[in-house]
Amino acid sequence: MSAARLGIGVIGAGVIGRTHLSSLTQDPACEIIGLADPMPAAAELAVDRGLTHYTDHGGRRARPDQLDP
Amino acid sequence: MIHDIDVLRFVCGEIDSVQALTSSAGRGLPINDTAVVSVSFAGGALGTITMSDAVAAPWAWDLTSGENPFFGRTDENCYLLAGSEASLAVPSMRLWRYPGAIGWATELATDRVPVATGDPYARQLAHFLAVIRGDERPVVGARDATATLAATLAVEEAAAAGRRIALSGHGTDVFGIGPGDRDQGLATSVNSAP
Repeated sequence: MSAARLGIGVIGAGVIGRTHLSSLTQDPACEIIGLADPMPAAAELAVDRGLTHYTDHGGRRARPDQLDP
Repeated sequence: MIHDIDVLRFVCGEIDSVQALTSSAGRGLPINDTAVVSVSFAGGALGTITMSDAVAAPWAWDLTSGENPFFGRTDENCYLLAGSEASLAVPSMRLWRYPGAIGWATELATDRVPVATGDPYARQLAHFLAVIRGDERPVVGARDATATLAATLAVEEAAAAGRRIALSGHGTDVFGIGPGDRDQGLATSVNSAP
């Protein structure tokens, strides 16, 4: 991740979460650093998009180097 | 429903009190799937919200606005705003008003209010990123969001208690956050999915 890009974690992979994912993917200013959702469909989506999958939003702590305090 | 209460606050001003009937009979889950709500606004307007997640119906924001291609679009409206001088249906933006003297004997004229289009998710994201960078102030702040949450929670409280619930200070009872700046407004009817 370059210094200019913002790392964004997406919590929730339902209809709206997927919509946000699409917007984020199209924005060169950001990098998606993870997807948090307990549903199995979310794990499949994460694999499909090449994203790190977390089963809950607390999983963000797993990669503290990529999040602003 | 919380999004629709947010819209109501944006258009009609702060909510003073709510009364409500709720039901979970549609899905049989622990959480309510259906509600009818009466809303009183600080500006003097009254509103009603009819909400269900367990009906096959076209009158919800996502089904009428066309903002998200995931949802099949209908040509219906989800908000009806009735004012003393004109009324507006949203999102068709069809405006109704008397061309001359106001009265039942005069035929109402109708017109469409022009509205800018755009991808709200892309615009929301652009703003979100600008806020993170410190380039912009949030269009919707925590105070504003909390007032909407307080009004939404009051709906459940009103239904459970079987009485009118006042929102003292428009949200000051939740997290100690007070009212935001909102315009005062009109009477309205809202059909909503949660």
